[in-house]
Amino acid sequence: MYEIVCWDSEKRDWVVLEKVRTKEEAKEAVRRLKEKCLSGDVRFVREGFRPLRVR
Amino acid sequence: MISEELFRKLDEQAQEIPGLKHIFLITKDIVDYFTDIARVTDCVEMGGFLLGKLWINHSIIYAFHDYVQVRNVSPEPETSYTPDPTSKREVMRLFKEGRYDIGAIMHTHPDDSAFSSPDLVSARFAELFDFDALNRKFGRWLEEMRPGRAASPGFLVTGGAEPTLYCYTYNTRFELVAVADDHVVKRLSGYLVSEARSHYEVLMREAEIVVEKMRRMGLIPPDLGALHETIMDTWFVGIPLRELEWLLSPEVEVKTEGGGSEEESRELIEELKERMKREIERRLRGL
Repeated sequence: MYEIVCWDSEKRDWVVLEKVRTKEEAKEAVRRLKEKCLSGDVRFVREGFRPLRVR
Repeated sequence: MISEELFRKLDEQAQEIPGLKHIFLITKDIVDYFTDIARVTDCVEMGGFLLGKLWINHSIIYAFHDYVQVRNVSPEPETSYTPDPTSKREVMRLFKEGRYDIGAIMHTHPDDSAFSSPDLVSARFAELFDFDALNRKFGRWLEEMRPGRAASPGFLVTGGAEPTLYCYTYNTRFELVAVADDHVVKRLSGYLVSEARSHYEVLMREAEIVVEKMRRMGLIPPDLGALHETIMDTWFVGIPLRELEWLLSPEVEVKTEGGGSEEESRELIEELKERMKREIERRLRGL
């Protein structure tokens, strides 16, 4: 199970947008949800994990 | 092939950076191999050992030029990587025989998740070298490589929407150097607490849960205090692989001769980043 997460610049934290089952679905969801995320930074992670924003 | 000249140059440049003693060098071949694994795997973590040589002068250069993929024997390979202990014993024998000086754990995440606190602990206590063999090879007591004093880097390649190479270590500021033919990309490590505050907070918040989970999995968890200490004193580098690939590609000419000022280097890096961004946008428009 993967969570599609969006970086919320105001909260300075990741917000979960959607959950999907496979990596293929996750990749597709990232493409689809890119415009819904204000920062444009959409990633996918396993439940309980988080990405890191590299400067 | 990594030249002696490159080691000398990196050593000279490192002397201009106060407090910098450790340089971790990795070849593009290694990054490419684990990037492919991270990209194609779904749901599981994989990995192996990086193997290399030490070069010691003012700085200690850990030059990782070889690797071996190692089976993940974690009871939960979906969320953690534990290298097969049999393979670790075999690798330790290679250090004893002097075929390699130093090793490090490299592992992959199938998604965008960055290093976890067990990843940090696993790197901190890996000690992939043979102290006696190193002393014999260098002909002196290598105080800087004494167990517990030597830097112990860990590497991670992620395979998500923004694939990234991470390198991290406990209590040691370092420079990560990626090498491909004549091209070199260098990054100075940042302190996790200040450079990635939100990730640091997530790791600290979930430390207790991690210890409990490891206990449930039948693993010997680190003491909670040691886990907190490890997270708090982590130095790391993260380089998006798209950026790394572009900077190491043969088309990019980075002038390193003459040792321009730090200001010039920064401007050059910014210019390269800007060019890369424009190139990506151009390619996206073409799709």
